[in-house]
Amino acid sequence: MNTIMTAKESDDKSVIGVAETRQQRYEGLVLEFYNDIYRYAYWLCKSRQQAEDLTQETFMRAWRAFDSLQSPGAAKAWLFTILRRENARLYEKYRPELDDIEDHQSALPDTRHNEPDQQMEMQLLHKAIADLEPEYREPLILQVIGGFSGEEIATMLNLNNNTVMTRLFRARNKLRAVLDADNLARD
Amino acid sequence: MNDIEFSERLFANPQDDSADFLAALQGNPAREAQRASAREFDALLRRELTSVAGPLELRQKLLKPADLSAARSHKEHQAANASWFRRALPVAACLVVAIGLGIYGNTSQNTELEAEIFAHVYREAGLFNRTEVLGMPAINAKLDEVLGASLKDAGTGADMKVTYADDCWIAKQIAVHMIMRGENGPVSVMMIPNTPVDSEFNIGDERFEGLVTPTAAGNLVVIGEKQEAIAEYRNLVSANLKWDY
Repeated sequence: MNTIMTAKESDDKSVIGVAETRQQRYEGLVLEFYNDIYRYAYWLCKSRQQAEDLTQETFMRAWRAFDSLQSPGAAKAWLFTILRRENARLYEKYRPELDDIEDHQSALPDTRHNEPDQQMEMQLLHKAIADLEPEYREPLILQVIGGFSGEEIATMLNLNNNTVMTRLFRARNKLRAVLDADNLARD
Repeated sequence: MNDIEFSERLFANPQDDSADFLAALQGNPAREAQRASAREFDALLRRELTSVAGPLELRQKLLKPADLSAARSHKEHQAANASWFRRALPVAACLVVAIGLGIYGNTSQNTELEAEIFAHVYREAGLFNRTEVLGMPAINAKLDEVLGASLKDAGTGADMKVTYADDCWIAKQIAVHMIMRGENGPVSVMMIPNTPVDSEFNIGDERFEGLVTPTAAGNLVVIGEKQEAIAEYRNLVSANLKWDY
């Protein structure tokens, strides 16, 4: 049996090998970041349906542009940036009124086994996050869900670092104020 | 670091582990307590922000991107091939324009579409003042991205005087909206890849008049100021639009 491949056979196998690696690397991206990307989408647009659409668009674009991803370490920021742009492109200009965040809240299974007071507190916090102005909500999501530093967030949002830190400070302050007011009312 | 700065840093990032911040904590029980409280709140915040999870079915779909892309193209092909217009009027160009000879569609679906179209036009009214004419590459890049279509070059760009071309959201679809410099003012041309209406129909309000024309792959909408020759724009676009599939 002739075990020496022709040049074409060798090229074909190389192409197949590269394609498999690309698919595998892409799958790794999905498995690692899918939930974080969905969460970011959800809190950006406050709608399950739009979050699913945005998430799908993000990963489809990532697949198409996969070869432009410089390094695995940059993947998360890259995906979050794609999603931001998709959100701006698809929804910010003409946001349909599909805020179903209340529906989502009620659909959440109660897996937390919390006391009723704690459940109410969580629901209140959920709504308070959704009600935050976008300029405060987005940096907060990027920090807490994305794990990005102030400087990374500043780059992604095209702001300076001080502005980002101020907005993070204000976001938390506003959320704490909501919970504190509720606690006061119930005491 | 004074107390105000410490609080600001803490609330901006309760997980701050930079050297100067940690140094500011050293031997200060009040600040330690403050940080503990802030971190407790942050844990609550994190828990709530991550309480949502993407549907498993979507994740499974996304693991096979090639299948997803193929399904999209297939859907577009189906939309193109399903139109009875396409079967009844074989033409060289992929786009088939059905002109209903003034048959008006008065269904509630048409009324709803008309309302959404006008809502969009008025929402975008700020774009009417643009004067710079776009080149064909920019226009076709957008058409290709959203619709998988393009306009033939041959003089079309100059004829149309397109000053704006971008994707937009109309009738729960991603569509393309172009604005052209008409004789009497801006002319909006929208291509919405939704279910084509049964027959061409007129739309209008106090300021604008327009045509909604069913095509092989959706609805072609042309709206201009009163007295604008909108049918000519409809003909110009439909005669020169080609689909990439």
